[in-house]
Amino acid sequence: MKDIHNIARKEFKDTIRDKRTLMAMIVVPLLLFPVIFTIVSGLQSESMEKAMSRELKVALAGSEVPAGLQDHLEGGQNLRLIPFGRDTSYRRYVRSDSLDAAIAVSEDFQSRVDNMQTGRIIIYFQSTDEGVGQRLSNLLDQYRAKLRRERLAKLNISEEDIQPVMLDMVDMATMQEKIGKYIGGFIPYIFIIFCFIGAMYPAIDLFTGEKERGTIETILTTPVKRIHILTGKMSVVVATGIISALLAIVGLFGGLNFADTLPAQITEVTGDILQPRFILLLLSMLIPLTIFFAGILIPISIYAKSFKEAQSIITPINILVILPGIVGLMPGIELDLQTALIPVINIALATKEIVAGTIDYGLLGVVYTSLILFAVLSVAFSVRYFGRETNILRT
Amino acid sequence: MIEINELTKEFRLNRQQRKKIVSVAPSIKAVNNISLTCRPGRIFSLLGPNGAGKTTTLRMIATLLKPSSGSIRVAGLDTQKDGKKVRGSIGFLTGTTGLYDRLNPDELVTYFGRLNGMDSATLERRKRDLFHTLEIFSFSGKRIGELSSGMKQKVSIARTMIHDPEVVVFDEPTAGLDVITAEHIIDLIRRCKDDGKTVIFSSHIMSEVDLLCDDLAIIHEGKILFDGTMDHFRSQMVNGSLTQEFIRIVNNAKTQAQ
Repeated sequence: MKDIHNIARKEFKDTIRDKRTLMAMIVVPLLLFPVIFTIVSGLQSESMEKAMSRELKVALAGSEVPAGLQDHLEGGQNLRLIPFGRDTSYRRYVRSDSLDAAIAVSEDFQSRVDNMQTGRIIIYFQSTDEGVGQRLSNLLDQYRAKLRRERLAKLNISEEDIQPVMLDMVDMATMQEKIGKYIGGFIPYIFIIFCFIGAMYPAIDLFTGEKERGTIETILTTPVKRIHILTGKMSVVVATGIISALLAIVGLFGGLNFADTLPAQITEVTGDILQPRFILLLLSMLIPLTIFFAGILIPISIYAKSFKEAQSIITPINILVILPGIVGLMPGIELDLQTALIPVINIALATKEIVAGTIDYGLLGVVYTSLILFAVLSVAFSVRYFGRETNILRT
Repeated sequence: MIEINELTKEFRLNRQQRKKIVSVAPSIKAVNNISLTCRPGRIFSLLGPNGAGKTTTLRMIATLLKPSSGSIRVAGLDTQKDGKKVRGSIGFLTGTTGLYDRLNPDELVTYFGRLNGMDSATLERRKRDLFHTLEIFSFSGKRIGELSSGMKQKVSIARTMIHDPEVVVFDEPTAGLDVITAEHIIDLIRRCKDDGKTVIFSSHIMSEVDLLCDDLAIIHEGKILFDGTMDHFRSQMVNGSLTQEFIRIVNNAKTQAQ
């Protein structure tokens, strides 16, 4: 036990002094969410604000623009009207971005409106200019509503007379269920990835690194048993994976609290999901999973002669971690006896059900059994592999 | 004391390895039935060309590899039965031995002292003595990655000797080192002899062997071609120079094998 502690203490010190590991283990998971939230919400609100407050240059075309319409348009905010009269070149100007949009009023507009017919107004705009079409149609909708009210009054008809059915949709699902359905599977998945990435660099550094630096013989010629060396090192690999995931949770909390421009519903629901009970449940699944990851990463790192070789073998394995996670996010795939047995998928699915409050505890038991079994198998494989002299001294 | 008795190490060959050495045999004997004795207070040199089986032999002494047959006793203990105790009585150093760049010399030497089961007081005392003798104090708090190769070699020596091992195993200890740095190693080997330790070192440099060793074994393709004292070797030389004599013995063995 003393030997394991000595090895683990030294390896942990060595690991946190490695800038590469430090980046993958602490900086990236801690800052990822706050940075994403800040950028996304910042960009979104900024571009929306910009689109809404920008002054629009709009051509007003038509030989006879009714005074009422002209007054209404002039009352619009941040709108500069450029009278075009009969000139029809405005389409070219809109196309070439010299104008933001054009409003073309048909010649007989006023007479048709007066004769209880439908007058026509065309808005020329480019949908690639965010918000332009929406702003003009909102403005003209108010004008349309005004004419409609006037016409109904003239005909002595009430609004109800022309609206026989009123349809109301009431969604009984809670916001937590709706958002939880999507992010419930997504949140653990993020932590699974951090467990893997957080464990990856220390695994390579603590095993392949020893070979590359020529230190493996020095440690193997000490009186410490090989299994104790392996256990000490493995505990550091597992700890860094778990620390990464924990820091990602801290980062997520921090991001949610500081990014005040995020939609309130997402902030609330994510806050509701991330309760201590949920985090503890998630952690209890992530620990055996990270041990399983370590049990895969370590034999590869023992086998590889160099950091480069280890990375080239591990990179495709990243996909094996990412793919089951994506399967877990797909609609229609649910936790059953089969999916509960597959690592990664089972955590994503089980967490989704825990968030929704529909977890079957029998199946959760299967998930734990499977995770622990895979962890034990992979550790046993690591022990065997580390004991084989040809692997460990392969240079 | 190191007693090697009818020691053999056989490695299984995979297809790639067979192709590399142009062989159809499923395995190769890196060490083939050798017997040697290294005594305390004497320096034993294992001399041989690359691939002769020197490193394999030394790794078996240090319990890094298990013998296929035969036995090794180090300080009276069987390497296969008492591996842990054997490792505790051995100091092992190679020319390519690396150190942990992100630790400082003090942390590194303390780490290895602890792994060798030393108590704090003995460890501190021994570390102080070694750091004093090797003049490590001036850089003992600096990260090893920032040290010069000479400084690193001194730290390697302190690492090897911290637990005051009875037996010291050097595998080509001066390979790749400049003359000044190699001199630290030569001094260390001499000091070990003066302290009455059993020293075995492998080399393919005859001049180094001539400078240091009391007993000599020449090994080629896993077999011992000569085993005796250095004086005996000199007295039965056919060629004038030691290097030429070494080459002659190895070439003779090659001719006989053909």
